[in-house]
Amino acid sequence: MDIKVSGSAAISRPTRCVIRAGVHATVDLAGTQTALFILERESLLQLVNVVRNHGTIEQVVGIELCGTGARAEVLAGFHGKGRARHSFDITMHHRAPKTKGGILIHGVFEGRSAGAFTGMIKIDPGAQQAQSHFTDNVLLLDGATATSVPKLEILADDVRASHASTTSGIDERQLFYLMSRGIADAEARSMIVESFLHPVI
Amino acid sequence: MRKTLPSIGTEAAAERPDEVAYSYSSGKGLSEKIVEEISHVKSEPDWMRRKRLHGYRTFMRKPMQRWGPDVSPIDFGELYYYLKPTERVAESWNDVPPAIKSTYDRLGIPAAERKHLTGVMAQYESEAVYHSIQEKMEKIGVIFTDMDTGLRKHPELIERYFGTVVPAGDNKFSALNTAVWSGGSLVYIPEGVSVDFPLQSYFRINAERAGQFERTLIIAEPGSFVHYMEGCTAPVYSSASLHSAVVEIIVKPGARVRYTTVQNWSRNVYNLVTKRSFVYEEGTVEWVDGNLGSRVTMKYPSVYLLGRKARGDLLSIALAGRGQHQDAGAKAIHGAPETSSNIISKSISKEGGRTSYRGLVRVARGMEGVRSNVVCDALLLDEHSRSDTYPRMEIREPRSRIGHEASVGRIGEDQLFYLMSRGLTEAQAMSMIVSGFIEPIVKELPLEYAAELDRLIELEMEGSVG
Repeated sequence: MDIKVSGSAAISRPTRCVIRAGVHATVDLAGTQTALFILERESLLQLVNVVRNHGTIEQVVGIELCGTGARAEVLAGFHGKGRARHSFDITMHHRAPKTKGGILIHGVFEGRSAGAFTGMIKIDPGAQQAQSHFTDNVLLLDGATATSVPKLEILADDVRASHASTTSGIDERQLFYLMSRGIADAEARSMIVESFLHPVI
Repeated sequence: MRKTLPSIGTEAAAERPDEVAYSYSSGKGLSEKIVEEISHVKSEPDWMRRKRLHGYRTFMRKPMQRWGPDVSPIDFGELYYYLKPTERVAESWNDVPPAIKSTYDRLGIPAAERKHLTGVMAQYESEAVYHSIQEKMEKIGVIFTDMDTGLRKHPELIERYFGTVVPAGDNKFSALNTAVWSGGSLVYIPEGVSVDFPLQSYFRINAERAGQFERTLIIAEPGSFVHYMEGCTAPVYSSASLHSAVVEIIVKPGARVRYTTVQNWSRNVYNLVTKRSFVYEEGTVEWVDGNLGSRVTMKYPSVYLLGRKARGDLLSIALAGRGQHQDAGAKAIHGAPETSSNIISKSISKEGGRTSYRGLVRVARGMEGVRSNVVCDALLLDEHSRSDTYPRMEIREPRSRIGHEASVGRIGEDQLFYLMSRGLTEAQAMSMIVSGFIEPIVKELPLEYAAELDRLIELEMEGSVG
């Protein structure tokens, strides 16, 4: 089933969306497991996705930039607690010239939770002047773990493609600063966590 | 060409073992019998024969890896697993492909050296140099010899360390190497000894140079230092289509090993190698790796950081031209607290060539204070070429700091325009930009290698414009 999305919409089941030429769509993925977006000429997709829970979630998202000048911006935030397992696999596939892609993922994992982020940027031959960037930043607390797999497959030369990935624990200096201002340990931690997620939520 | 029969087991053979080895060829294909024969002809101890057989069985059992470049054109039944050098290398200067000859011309490599590189002349006049190095080394207790001689003279050392870093069962090709290895270097640096000049495999007098299944073992005792170099920037002609080396490096507490390799095999070669080091407390390993030639390269130097504050640095350059796939990368396994790794990879793809970076950073639980940073930069010189990046980071310790970044792009028009406005041709401008791109790694090479690599890049670039 093809759904034409215009304006703002929230989707909640395996979905295939076609964004028609020139349409600007804002879509809230809201933890949908599988979604494929096909972008036509000069269309714009703004995708948001926030997952905050204790459960297991495996999301697979594909974005196909099929029309010249199509653009997609993805913001995804994950906050896993307890024994949560959050897995997010996204592919940004540039199939036409002058397409733009941007993916920003921030994930915080506490307790014994685990995050796994896979981001593939593919640029087809002939998709010249494509620009694409993938970033995932992960904050780990307690005994949490994370796996990041940022990938690039670039088959055109007049392009700009890059990815960046960081994983680290809480900055003790930030914690110290907040506590020196009279903020309790737990509250200081939660402030740091929220500020880490702020760019994507 | 020598055609004498091997005189196994005699005193004479033990004295001049190389002659035994060189006058034997194993014939096509691989079987348990051939593995036994190789071991027999080399008069190896029984434990090595058993290791080889174990390697052979593991090789037969293991499936071909399903990821990475296509290696299906390799026909294992058609290969020679043990050859005397005269059959492996070009028979005479006339057999050397013209493309390689002309590159030597352009690089200005002396005639004698050219013959050495192509194997037409098995022993270069570096013999004298080697002897003086050898004398110097013996005085300080350093062992630097080929593996076959090493196995005869220092069997206890090899029995203790062989296969401990790269076990036969690690992958299909390490199993193959264990079964049929020949040549390679044995390097042993005693405690506290610092070798103040690079040990180059080039100086080792041995017709087994640049063998198909080299096996190298480097042991650096606590507090020692060595810089080991192998390969060369000039193209090396080889008629054998599969090269599968194994390199094992053991860096004991406080020791430092730098391992530099520049490989430029001819374009028919599948170069599938396993290189790994174990680094203990406050030890450092540095890999400097250049991959220019071959048809397919699969090479992922790995550092296992096994003691507190151990450190691994990996620098690599790959250049892939027409019909080539350079699948290179690095692995850092952090198995101790406060360990650090630093990986820098630069790749260039041109004329339809493909470069891939494949990497792994793993931090085990409880390894606090780990630092790792990976930077991959790729340059695409035309629209037919391809560049891939496949890193993986598995982090099981929150008190660590891990970063990875990669970028792919082409030479900026503005940079080209600027240089051309200063009177450079497009080719000159491009080669200057490419030299600048790989400069951070080239500057880590000894001067003569760096200069040669620069010239080689220049040559490669000439063909890629217009």
